[in-house]
Amino acid sequence: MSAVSMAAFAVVTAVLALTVRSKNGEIALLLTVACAAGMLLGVMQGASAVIAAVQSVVSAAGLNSSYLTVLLKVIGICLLTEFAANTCRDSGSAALASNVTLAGKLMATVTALPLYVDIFNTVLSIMNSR
Amino acid sequence: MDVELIFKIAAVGIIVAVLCQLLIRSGREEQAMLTSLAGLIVVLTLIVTQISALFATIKRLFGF
Repeated sequence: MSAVSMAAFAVVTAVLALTVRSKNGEIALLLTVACAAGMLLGVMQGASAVIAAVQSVVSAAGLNSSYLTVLLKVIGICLLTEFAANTCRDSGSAALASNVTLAGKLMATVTALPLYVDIFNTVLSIMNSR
Repeated sequence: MDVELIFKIAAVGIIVAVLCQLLIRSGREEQAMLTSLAGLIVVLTLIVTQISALFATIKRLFGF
């Protein structure tokens, strides 16, 4: 999907949502949600190539691939949380949006906990070896 | 990337709005409410497949 078609898609959806919003607010919200989902779906097809490249770099560098798994999981959590929070904010419930963001932060921290533990253990071993 | 889906949803919204106005003007407010509910459900069923495809793609890409 090219950048031009994505921009045109978003602008057309914004105009249509503006037309529908005055008469039927719920359907306007669903319109924007459908646009966001379609746009992200179109972009995600290209993201798999990026992930494959990062994986090949990590395996060439000889790093532990479980770190990359955790990283990708956290990126996915951020993406989903942002999507949900933006939808909530668009529908006018800002408190729900901030709560979704908060929950996403907590989930990202819990997912990345093994990495923190690894860093802590590394620091401890360096300090003990001195 | 399907622009047809967006146009379909916008068409449903406009048709439902017109139907609602007609029904309210002719004094059938309950039927107008039911019509708008039906339109909402139709659009939701259109969107749910899209959202589930998005979530499945994210799950597959980021290895949940």
